[in-house]
Amino acid sequence: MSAWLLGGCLFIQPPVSAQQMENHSEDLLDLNFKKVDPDTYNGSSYTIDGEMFRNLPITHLANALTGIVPGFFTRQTSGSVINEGPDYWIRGRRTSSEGVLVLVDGQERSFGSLSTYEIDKITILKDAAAVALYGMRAANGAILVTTRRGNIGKPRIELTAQLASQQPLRVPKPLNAYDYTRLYNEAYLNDNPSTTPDNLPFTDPLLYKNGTNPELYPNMDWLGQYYDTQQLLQRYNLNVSGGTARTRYFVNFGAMAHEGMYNTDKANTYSTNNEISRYNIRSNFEVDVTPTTLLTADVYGWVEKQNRPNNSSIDAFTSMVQTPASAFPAFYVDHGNYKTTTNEKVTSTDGKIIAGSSKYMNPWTQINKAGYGNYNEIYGSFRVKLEQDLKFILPGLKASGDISMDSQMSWVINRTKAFAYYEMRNDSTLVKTGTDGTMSNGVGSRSSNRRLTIDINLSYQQQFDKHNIYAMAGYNQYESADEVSIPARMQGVGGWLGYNYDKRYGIDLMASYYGSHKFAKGKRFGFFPSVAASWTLSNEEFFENLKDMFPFLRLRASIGQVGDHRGIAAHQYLSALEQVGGVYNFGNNMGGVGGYIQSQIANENVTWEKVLIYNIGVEGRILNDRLSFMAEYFRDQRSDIYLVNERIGGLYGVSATVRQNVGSMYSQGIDASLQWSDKIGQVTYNIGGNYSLSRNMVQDFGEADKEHPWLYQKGYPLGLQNGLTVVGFFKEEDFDINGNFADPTIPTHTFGKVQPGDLRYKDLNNDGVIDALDIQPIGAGNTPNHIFALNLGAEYKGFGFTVLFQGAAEISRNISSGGYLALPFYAEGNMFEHQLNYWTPETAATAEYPRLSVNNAAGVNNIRNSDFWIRDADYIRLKTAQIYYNLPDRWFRSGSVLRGVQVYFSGYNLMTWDKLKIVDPEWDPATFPINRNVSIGCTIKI
Amino acid sequence: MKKYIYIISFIALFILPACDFMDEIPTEWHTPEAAFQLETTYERNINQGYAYIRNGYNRINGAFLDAATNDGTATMLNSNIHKLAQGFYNAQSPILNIWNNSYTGIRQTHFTEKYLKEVQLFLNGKTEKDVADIKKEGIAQMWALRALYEFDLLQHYGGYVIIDSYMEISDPRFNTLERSSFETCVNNIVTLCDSAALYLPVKHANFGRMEKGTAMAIKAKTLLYAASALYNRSGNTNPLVGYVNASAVDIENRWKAAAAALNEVINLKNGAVNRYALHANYAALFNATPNQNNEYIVFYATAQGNGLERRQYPPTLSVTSGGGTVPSQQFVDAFTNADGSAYTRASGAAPTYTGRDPRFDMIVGYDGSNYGPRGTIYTRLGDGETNDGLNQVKDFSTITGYYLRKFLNTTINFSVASPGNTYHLFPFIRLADVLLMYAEAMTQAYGFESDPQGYGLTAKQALQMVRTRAGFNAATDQYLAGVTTKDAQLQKIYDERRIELAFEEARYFDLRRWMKTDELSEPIKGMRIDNNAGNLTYTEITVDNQRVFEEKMYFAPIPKNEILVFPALQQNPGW
Repeated sequence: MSAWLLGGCLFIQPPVSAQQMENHSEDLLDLNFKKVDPDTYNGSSYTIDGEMFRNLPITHLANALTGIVPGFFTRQTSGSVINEGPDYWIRGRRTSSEGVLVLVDGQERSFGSLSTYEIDKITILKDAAAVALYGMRAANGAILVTTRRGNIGKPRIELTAQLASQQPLRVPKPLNAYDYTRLYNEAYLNDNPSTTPDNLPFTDPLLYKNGTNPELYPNMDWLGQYYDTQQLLQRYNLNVSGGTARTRYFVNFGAMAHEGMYNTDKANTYSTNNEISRYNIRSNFEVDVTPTTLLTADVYGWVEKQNRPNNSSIDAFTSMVQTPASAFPAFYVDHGNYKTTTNEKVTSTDGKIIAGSSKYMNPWTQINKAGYGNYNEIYGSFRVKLEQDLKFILPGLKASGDISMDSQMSWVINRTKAFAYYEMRNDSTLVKTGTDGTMSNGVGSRSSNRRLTIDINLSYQQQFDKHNIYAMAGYNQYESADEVSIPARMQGVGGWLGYNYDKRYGIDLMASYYGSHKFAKGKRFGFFPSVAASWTLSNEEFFENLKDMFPFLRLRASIGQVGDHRGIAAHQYLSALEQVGGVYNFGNNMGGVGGYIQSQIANENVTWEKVLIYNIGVEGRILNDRLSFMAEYFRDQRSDIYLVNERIGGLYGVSATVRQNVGSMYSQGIDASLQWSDKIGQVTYNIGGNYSLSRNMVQDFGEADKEHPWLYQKGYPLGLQNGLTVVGFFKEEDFDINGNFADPTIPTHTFGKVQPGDLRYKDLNNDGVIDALDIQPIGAGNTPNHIFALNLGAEYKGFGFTVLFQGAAEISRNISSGGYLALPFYAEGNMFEHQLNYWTPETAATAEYPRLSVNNAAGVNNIRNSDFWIRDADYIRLKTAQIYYNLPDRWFRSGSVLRGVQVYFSGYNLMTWDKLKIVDPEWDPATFPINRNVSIGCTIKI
Repeated sequence: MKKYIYIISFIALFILPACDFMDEIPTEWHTPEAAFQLETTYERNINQGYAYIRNGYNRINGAFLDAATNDGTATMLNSNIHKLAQGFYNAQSPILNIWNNSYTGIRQTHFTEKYLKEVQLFLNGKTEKDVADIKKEGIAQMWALRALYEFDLLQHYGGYVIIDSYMEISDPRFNTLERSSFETCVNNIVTLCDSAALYLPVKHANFGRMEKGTAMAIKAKTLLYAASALYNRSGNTNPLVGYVNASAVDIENRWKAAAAALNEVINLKNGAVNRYALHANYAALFNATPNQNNEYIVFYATAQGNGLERRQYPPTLSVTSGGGTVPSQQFVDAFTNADGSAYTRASGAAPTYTGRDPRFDMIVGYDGSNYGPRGTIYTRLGDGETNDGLNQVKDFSTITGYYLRKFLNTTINFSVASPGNTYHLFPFIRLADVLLMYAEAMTQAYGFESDPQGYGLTAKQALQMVRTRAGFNAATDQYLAGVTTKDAQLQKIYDERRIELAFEEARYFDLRRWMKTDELSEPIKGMRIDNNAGNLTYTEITVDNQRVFEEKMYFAPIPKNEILVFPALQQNPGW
């Protein structure tokens, strides 16, 4: 397709080698208030360099971290272009309320919309020592993103263009009209066995097959005709950086555009496709005001716009999946003689009469005739930082102050149109419903937000002989306000005392005294200490002989207590009354009167969740720094988790739900990685991998006494799905002639009347009834317990490739959660090719789906959560692959305008191997399918 | 150097933020001060105290509570009422559970009382004394409501936990809560009622509000229970379930106190006349317009509706539902003849539906009974069989051969688009109940026909008043013919209660407090009528022979969750 037309652009980029994939001691770890040498940093962290993922055809930055960072668990549920990053957890799911602190240049911001070209490094902080200074904000880990700065030198320009083709993976395949109507009849007969053939819903399915009258008996392939399986995504980027001894700058312009997923007719003057565009601008500027004073001023912002057919980007896709092939054609061709049932002549502006029915949405109409909507978002931010070297007072003393302000606004413009649709009665009569309307013009879904962060810091670092001392004290405050709530505010001071002897023994004491506005005055602040220590064996005397083999070997351990304020609503220590109507009746006519209820019961002792994290690890580099490895074990104990306390007895007399700090759970796991890079002749290559394990266990979630042990969350991992246990399908011999169970020991299935071919459940508590008491935890949960990855790369004379395989194990998906994937005709919807192996008396032994039924909807017997539908979703993907070629240096002699050029192919989500087969193991069927992106691009350096 | 000082001070400026940076709170949330201060909103808090009064119609899974006595059963096969009647319940799933609701009500009354006292109320055009009086009356309503919630707890569980003030959930007193003795609870209710009665009006313009008589009636019924056999068992050592070591003199004094309290309710004056009077028509009483209803004393007020007709009509009249709670053959046999003499039917013989107690037609729907404007219904099978017939439609047709006609307004017509609405106020205590309780107390204290205290009514006269309203002629009434012993007289009063207060939750608790529980394990009987070309054959059937009563079932179990959460709370014996 046209997506592939592009001349050779030349792209220069230093090869992405293994050395950038690990923490190398030459690169400093940027903690925003301090740059530390990773070889002496005692917290648990992992850094990746921006160059690693710059060329990936991804639209959300979190996708860059999958498979590369050990301990970074992700689940990509949706493939939409905008706002849809993966769900992610650092070291797995460790508590009931999730959320990772993301700081971009020290300010808490969403980082998904940043361009990959702006990023210098991303650091993941994992253990207590690393996050101790953030108080209550980072108990689940933190992601620090730093953006690029300019270097001294003449201006360097980098221009990039990338074209990607986005292909949705595993879109469900609806049946053709003949199969749909034929099987619908069969399902109808199952539910109403006494129906005569001429009373079936579709009197002659064959009419849909032979295509003699495609308007009255259509056979539409909605997805095939109107959904684009090769969508064009374009990314362009231009940055200029440079500087003198006094000033340095980095300016970046980025643009991204997605052409939309639908095949619209383009007959309107406006677009009805779900196109998206995003523009980023950044200017990072540094000035040495004096030789000892550094002023940094960063300004950046982005603008995003989404166009949506019928003011919804996903409804058209959903209707393409759910509208049966036999429902109606896209439109009726106007032959000029159509009349409605009230004998009015039907007219159309372009020869196309809109088809439709009250049961199903017409996808063609949604993407052509229903108007559009526009989602707009603007984000602006600026930051000023002043760093003063105070060596005139005391050598090694520094102070800095940093203020960041962000502002965000979004709104939706609604320009939809009402339309009348017609159903064909015969080839001259149409039944009309609704009226054609003019385009509306309204605005809605407004939201805005502003944030402010202030950081002040005083630090001291000095080396005396073999002793290295570091001390730091800092003050931080953060405020975030939306339109109506009281702004969220946090404030705290932190301190760090570090001591390192001869680069062999190191110990760090970090603590913060941090408070959040959510809690009552006097109970807001908490003290969060942690201590970390390390022993670098490779610098010991006894290690001298091994130093050639083991240039670096270090043991690390840390323990600390942090707090977590996520998941706790603000002001729970206050009680609130709420007016309600109709609480009782008085008077001769028994009129209703209003009352006042306590909608919030004051919880005076509300406090934050306590988090105790232990971490021990070993890391090293051997064989001349060619092989590096890292392994860590952590244990995370949570207490005082804030959740619904079911053990509030009736004696309390409260009518509102009471939430208190009653929960506790723990999690533990391993992160490990191994990386080898070497050179054979002129070929440099690298191979490596990582593995992470995280398991958790609920100890107490405030649950009331329950009848059976399997009804508790206590004693099971958090996040397990639960459901009934399936024994098999009901057989014909299980029923007598009246439709009742032949065998009286078969328990009563309370979810509906069952027939042969329905799912038969197990009565766990032997009470003769299948009901909520027979539901138990099933499967492994919907967050993975294991994640692993393998990376390979090589380069020869400017030509190279890198490949990343990534996978997850011990993870379960519930196929029935969307309904339509599991059961045909769900909520009067469609039937799909993967559902063809359904139960009939003949296929009973090998059937994969229950018997057909036209009554499938929420709550029926067969759609209940059970181990029939909760399946293994383990997978391995070929996650990324890049092939690149740098034009030889000798082409760019000094003096020529160009400095270098690189061309590359880059792909994302290229192949998947899994057991689930029906659907992508990570996909949530209520959203857009996950995509495979394949791109080509080039960069010119001037 | 100066430059550096400027720069350092500039950085230090950042440390300006106030120490009250995080102090902002949502001041728009309603606080008690705001709610109780304003003229437009203070009354809502008083209304909220009423919000937890419970209904008695269809209270257990769609059935009346008395369907768990030998008065009847329910047509819904899956209803929990059957489990309740057959003894399949325990502390884990108690089925009969008013614990949470009552305590929510009690807490609300404390909340309203506390803030009515504390917060200054501003009313236009009222003097300070007026405001004080309004507040006092509001607080008195709270006391009366609290007494009602506590009586409900007493009736179900025996001694309960007395919560005597408003407590936040973090209050440490919650950890040591335990049940008070039966005696203390009775005294507490009596005190609350006495205090409330001082400030409540005799008749409130707003029908449904707590009045003087309401408080007095709750007190009187409590005292009647306190005198009853169940709570005065000889050899009882558990103070939670009754009096310990009650002597005969104590018991007699309790009956006397009950009689005195009941008399106060009967003779409560509204101006020159009695506040409460029996409604002229028994059938119309239960759907009467509030202003015409002077018989109801303590009741549940709700808007008009037709849900009860929908549930209780025979299926042909209800169209989409039907049946519900249905009377048993034993209950039908309990109605006297039209002259008041006892009705006897040989076992297996055909029942007579004519010439019976005038209330029979108003309470029971039988084969051939006339549902007023809705026509005649038949429960027979065979010729002329309809959906009303025995066991015709699952969950809706009668399973005993009878339908419950009481409480229904037969003008409600479900075959038209607007069936109509009517009043369904469930009576907890009404004047007829008070009169019969008075008869019982007087007989127990002084004798059937004596009135030494000069109350103005003997037990016999009170009983007769109820019967006269029912349609019996006092002069020719054979009901008390040949009844001379105290036990026989009491039995006649009990029998009258069974009919007059049928399905008003009286029987369930009465059988327990009289300790006449054999009847609770009687199998439920029905009548099957077959019509063969005009010949009706009557066969007695057994509908439910799994009824069980064990000694522990005198009291409901405290929900298990409560016992686990409050370690000092004691469970009722046997649970």
